[in-house]
Amino acid sequence: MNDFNSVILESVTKSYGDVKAVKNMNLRIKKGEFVAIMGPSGSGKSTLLNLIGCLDKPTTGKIIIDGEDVTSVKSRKLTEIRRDKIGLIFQQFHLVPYLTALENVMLAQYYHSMPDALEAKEALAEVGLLDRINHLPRQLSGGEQQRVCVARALINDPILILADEPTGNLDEKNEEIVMDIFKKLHMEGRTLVLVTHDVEIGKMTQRRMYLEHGALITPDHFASHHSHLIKD
Amino acid sequence: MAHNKKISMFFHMLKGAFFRRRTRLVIVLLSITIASSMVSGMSTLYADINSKMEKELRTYGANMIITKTGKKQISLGQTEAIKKYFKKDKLVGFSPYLFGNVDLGEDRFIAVGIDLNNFKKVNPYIKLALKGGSYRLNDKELLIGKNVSINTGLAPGDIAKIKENREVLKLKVSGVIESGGVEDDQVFIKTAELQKLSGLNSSADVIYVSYIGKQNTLQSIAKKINASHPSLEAKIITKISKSEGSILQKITSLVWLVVLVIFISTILCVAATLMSMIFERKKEIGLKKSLGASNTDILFEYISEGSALGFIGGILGWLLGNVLAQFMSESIFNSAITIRLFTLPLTMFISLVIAGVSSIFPARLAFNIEPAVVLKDE
Repeated sequence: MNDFNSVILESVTKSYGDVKAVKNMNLRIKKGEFVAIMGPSGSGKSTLLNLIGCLDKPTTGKIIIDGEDVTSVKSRKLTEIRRDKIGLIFQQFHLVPYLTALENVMLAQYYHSMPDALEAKEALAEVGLLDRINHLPRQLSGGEQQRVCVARALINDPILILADEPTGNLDEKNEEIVMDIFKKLHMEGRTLVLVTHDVEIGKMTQRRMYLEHGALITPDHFASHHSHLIKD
Repeated sequence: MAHNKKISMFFHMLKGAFFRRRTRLVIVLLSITIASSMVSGMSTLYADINSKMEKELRTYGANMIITKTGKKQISLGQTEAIKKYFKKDKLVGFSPYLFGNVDLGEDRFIAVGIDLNNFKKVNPYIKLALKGGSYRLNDKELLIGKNVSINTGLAPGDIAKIKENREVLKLKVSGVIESGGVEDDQVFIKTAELQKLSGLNSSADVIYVSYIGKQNTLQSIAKKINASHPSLEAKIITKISKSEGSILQKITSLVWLVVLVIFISTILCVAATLMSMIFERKKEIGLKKSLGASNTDILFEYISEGSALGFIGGILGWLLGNVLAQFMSESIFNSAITIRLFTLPLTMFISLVIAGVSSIFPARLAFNIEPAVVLKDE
């Protein structure tokens, strides 16, 4: 059964002191699925993404990524899993300011296995940035920076791509470009999990999960309590 | 080939980290350079300071005296034999004194037969005591003490008649000395003149020696002289050699204290700058960790950056230190300094230690950076 799932969460809770950011959560994300995790600010979306992305460990419960239980592994092993299986995309892009677009992509290769400029160029070409490979992040627009970030996330061929508000800092045009890339990746059979509070972005995904106060809620419950987000 | 790509990427990141954080890295580099230049300069100076200070302290005058134990004066042969106990390059002054009593005017004074060049070397401070005339002693000339001048009314340029037994010498007063010591009551003439006047063949009653060496070296020479010349007694002028030792000890301690203070303050300065750089770079570190960099990878990068700074700072510091030592030696000792190659590895080691020790706290900070926390969008 695990073979069909990229991500399994069983009774996962994440607490920060007395505050429970994620409460007793159970979820499964199938291989090749394009899922949106939605919810208002403070609902626990990013915490959940950090847990799935092996950037954090749960307080209780079990997390299985690509058939491997990552709950009790040591942080070194967790780093290896993150490096080998997961591609991360951030709202603030987080590119190294003194490296060019090409080098930023090669950085992910450097920590994974071996930097390969040719492969990195191909990845940048995939996101339409072949003519910007030698530009520093400050010489790129927000949309271009996010596309570099996407190319970096894809370069090591991860089984799971996690994106935290990837269009949060983009204008409409760049939002469309990035979402088109995600759709294409989904079509290629990749598993994508996207955190967003934007309902329109959420609609572009295959399945939506709604979060409130660290727990999953039904779409109807979400619609009745967060109509302002839907209107947006 | 593939391995080379990784190395090349690593150096590219290192270069990028350096050139895009110029201001802060210049502060770190400057701190390490200054500290290592002090270590290099001080150790170069320290290697020379003993000999230079010993030479410098010879302005105190003689540090050994050789006297006769009986009535028999020191012969010329003995004087020559004694001189051989001292190494030529360390012997600053060797001045035999021959004493005699002479009549000058109505009074009787002590006449000292000397060679002025040698006399000057064991009494370098006396030249400051010249009250009038010139500080020279040619044939047919004499130098007189201040009290002699007062009692006899003689002044520079006057002709003095000095008598002993039936011999009379007419000598011109070249200068008057006022040292505040026994010299004020003495007259100084060339040894040969005194020998002629008193009819003596002996070379000296006492020999003053000014020699560059530590107290135990002087003691060992004195021992040898005493053993081979029972009619003589060689003694160290303890108040001079002891105070020299004490001054050297104090200067050496001061040098190392300054180096230690600079060393500690540099570590604090470099550590503080590196800490602030880690704070600035915490997102970058978090990102690298999120991309799969282990703590070892991060530590390796920071150690490499620190080592590179330590290496460059060490070389610059060594060069600067030699310039500093040269300048200090020229201005303090009025002589050039020898460049000591042993100070290069020492300086490199110290600057790498500074960089390494300064990196401990920043590295711990980098270790504890949680990517999930620092990458949280604001």
